[in-house]
Amino acid sequence: MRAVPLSDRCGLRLIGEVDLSTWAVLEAELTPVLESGEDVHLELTELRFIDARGATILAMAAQRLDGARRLVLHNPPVVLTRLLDVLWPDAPIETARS
Amino acid sequence: MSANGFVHEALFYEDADRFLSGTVPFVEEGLAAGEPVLVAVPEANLDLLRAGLSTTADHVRFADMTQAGRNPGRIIPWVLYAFLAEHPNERVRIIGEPIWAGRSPVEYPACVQHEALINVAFDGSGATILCPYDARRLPPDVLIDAEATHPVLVSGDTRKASDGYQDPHAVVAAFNAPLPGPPAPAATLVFSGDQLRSVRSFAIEHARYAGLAKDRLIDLEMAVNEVATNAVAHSPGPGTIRAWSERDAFVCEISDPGSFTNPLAGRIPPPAGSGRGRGLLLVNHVCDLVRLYTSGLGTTIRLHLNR
Repeated sequence: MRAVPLSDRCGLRLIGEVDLSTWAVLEAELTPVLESGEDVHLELTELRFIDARGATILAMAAQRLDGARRLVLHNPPVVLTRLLDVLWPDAPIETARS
Repeated sequence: MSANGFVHEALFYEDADRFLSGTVPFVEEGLAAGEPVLVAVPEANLDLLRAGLSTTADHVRFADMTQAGRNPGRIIPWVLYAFLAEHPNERVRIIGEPIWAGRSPVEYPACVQHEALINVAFDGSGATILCPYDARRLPPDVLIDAEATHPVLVSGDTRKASDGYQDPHAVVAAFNAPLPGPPAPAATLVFSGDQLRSVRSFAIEHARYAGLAKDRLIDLEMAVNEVATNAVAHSPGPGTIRAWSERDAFVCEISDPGSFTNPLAGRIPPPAGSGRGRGLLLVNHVCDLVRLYTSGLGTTIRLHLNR
């Protein structure tokens, strides 16, 4: 997995697959955007796979925003939607499709 | 009843009347005491109990156990624990019938292990769990196993401590046996921690060929990935995945040289703030059956997804 900063707002485009070998990359890439003080957008059209730990990293990131800011997932893959439905149904995550 | 208030009883019933006379008062006593009540039993018994309760049925949560608990490993986390978590600091009352006539020999060891682990998982909780057993249609061995997994037995008007009750971990160990081999030579892939993508592709490719429904492919991919991740993260590796088709199910089996030491892994959710420990919970949620065999030589976890 690799992450590219979004050009028009605070957030990242995630490309590839999140699993055991890329958890640390995801966490490291998210840290600065979570500390930005703005809503966080993740463009996920090119995210091909993510596992339970990866979904948990996103859910916990959303909880760190503490209701004051939003975490918005754009075009999440089905696997992520399914993971969040099962493991984190109450996580404060918004989903947008375009 | 143990000192902490956790109660786990088996109800042996011979017919519909005895099923009702054993369950209706149990539900009504709970409702009268203000306890939330969940009934998770096969559909025919759901219908019986709904009719038997008449108006009070509106206050009871019902679930078809052949769906919610088709995978025995799904029952503790996603049926029982979930209901307790909805009602923190309250006594709750549950009727759970995880073993019905028609459970296959492949499912059965996981069912008994599940019944034994209830005693560990809910020790210290305020849960009263009653497990009906169809004494007329289930084989005698099954009823003997129920005596080993339930501290209290109820039959007709009698309620007594079970003489056959056994330490839950001893029961889990007794049903920890090598899994039967695949019906034909199975496709195999040996993998290390940087090859999980290949493991996922392997599973998907074989499942497609075997005709697994498209909406189950995502579940398979997630489940295989979690078990394979554990195989390389918690053992020296490598992991091995095998895949094959059975009559009703597509089967993937992941083996590693490590030991599986916590039988409650995948059954009890970690604390909300913990970032780890949800992989096997997910696996239990999405699979139709999960079987496990562990020994000093390694661990094998077998996932069944019905076609």
